[in-house]
Amino acid sequence: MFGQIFAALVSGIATGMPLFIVASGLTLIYGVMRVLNFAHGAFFMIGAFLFYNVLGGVTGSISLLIVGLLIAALSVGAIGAVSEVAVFRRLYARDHTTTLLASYALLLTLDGLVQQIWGVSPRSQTQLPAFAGSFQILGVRVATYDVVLIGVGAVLAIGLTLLLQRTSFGQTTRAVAHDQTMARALGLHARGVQLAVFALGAALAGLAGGLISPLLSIDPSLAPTFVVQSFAIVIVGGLGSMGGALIAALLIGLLDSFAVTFFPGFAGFSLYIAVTLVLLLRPQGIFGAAFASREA
Amino acid sequence: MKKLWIPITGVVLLTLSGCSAGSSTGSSADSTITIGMIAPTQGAYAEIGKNITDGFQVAIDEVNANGGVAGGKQLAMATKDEGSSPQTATQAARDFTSNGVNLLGGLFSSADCAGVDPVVEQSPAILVTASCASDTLTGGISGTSPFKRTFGVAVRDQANAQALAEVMAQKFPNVTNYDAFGFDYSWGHETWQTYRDGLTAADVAVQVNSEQFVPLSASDFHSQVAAISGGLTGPVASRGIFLATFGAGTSGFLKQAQAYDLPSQVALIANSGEYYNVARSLNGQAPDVWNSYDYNWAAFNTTMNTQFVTDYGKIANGAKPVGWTYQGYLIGLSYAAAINKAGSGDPEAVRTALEGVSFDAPSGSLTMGAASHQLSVPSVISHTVGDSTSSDGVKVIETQVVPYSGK
Repeated sequence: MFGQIFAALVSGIATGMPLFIVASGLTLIYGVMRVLNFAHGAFFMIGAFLFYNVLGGVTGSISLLIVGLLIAALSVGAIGAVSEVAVFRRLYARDHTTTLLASYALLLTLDGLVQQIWGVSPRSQTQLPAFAGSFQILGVRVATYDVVLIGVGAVLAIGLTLLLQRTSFGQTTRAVAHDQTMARALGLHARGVQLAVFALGAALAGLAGGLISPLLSIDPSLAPTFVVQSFAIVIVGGLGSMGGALIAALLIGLLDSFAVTFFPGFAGFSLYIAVTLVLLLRPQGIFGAAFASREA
Repeated sequence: MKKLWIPITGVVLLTLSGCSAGSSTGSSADSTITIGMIAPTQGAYAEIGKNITDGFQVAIDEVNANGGVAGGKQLAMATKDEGSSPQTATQAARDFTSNGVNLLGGLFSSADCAGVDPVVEQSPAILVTASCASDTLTGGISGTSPFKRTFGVAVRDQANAQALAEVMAQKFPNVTNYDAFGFDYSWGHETWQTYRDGLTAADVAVQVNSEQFVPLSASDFHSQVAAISGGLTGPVASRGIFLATFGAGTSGFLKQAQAYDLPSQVALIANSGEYYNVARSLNGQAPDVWNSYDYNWAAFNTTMNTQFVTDYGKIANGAKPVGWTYQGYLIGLSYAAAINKAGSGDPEAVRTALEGVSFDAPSGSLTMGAASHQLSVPSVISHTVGDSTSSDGVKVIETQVVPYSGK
């Protein structure tokens, strides 16, 4: 029994951390701009395709891996910046429904472009030999790459927290998120901040796409897959809360893992049970409104 | 709470994404008979759709190059998007018939076929389906089709699973401890049940360690792979994994299983459903897998198969055809044979001609069941492994053809 619990614990964290990496950009963009960006899934997918293109399907070394991730993140960040200027900037003054539909339209557009550029055949990115395979801890098998993803997720969580809490960029960002009009009155360049945050959020999606691509089939069906879970994480964690997203991702990963291990019949919809419970008991999410109020 | 409807609506919208459609129509001239192919052209299943239409195109190109049908008429293809819902597929069929295209083919999803078949039944059109292999659509091999105007070329789902069970029982009689992983809808559950029953009928004392079923759209199987890895029992030689998945589901599971070294901890990974395209997509890293489906390019040592593989390679940069390509190809051959038999492209005459029509195919002579409307296609058991030195990244170790059993 201990072995099963320990295995479910490790598996849950390994499941949750990639979800956090995807959800972090989503919650960042919502936290500052109040845009629930459905196109985030397309950014994730493009990141995976670009990573594949840069490395040609074979991950030869750690340095190549890092170069591939950087190119994927920066390129998708640039696409995010263009999207912000071309689509979302014009809609901030409109109601949420308008931006919501615009982001959905952007998702479909990018989805179509991906099919035009990369075609419909699935692709596969091989794993770096150093990160392939598994090892055992206390009799529980752990995938080496899961440890890598957990490490990257932890670094990202700390890095984003420091960026938002301890830097002048973070201060400006929080000011814009809290009260855009006041921020402008104080001479802050709100539009520049919004552009930078949107690009950063998109870059995080691109980074996630590259990071997770060795575990997935890279094809046009990628766009909606992780994003549905990411939206659930944003809801459970609290809209716009980075810390909430991390906790929610880990909770959802653990819930899924324990359900699969001990209650397989519930595994398929444990995610939705969590979302329903949070909506009923704490509608604002575990750390709801944290970014705009407490974190600010 | 007020703003939470937005993300919730978003999740619903995302779930519905991919419901887009594109279309093109064909027209019939006296010297040309147009067949309307309905297949996914966008979204998650676009590759499957391309395989089906490419296979059909190869068939009609071969037929046309050999003088055409019914006294020299040429066959032509028009296409419409199947989309990802029965509504879209049904609309595509209606569009074709309203434009006078009444010989229809294609369709990937049995759910879509279940929507389209009744519509075709009430129209002057006839339909030869590609991958819709549910018993409820054809009435089974020896039964009577519930639809007079619909025919099928795919091996029944349960026939493929049964064939795989029979062969695995012979080759791996000591593999008794099974973990099952499949899509959480009727096909996934029924395929696993048929395979398990087939093993039991062959005197294999099956022990089920775990059954993991996931949504069709899922791609992250961390928890399932970890649970299977942690729950393995008995010696390696007794362990097997059965996959009731296809496409990205199979690919994602195998990649995540490799991260846990799962293939090396079991004696057998068996999969029922199209797999060659998955193995090919894994860049030479595919694990050792036994699969059952309608076709493997290496299974048939016939002139016609060689021609099919060669002709498909010309339009696919040398790639080998897969099961879905073969299904599209068989639709083309079925129509060509029926139109020749009928002497025209008149839908009613072609419908009558399709019942009981026989023709040569890469696997040998095939017959369309007069009552079942089911083509007598054998199952192909393929044993493959990734091979980075092969042009496809796949090494076909062994194939075994399980003849059409008539049930």
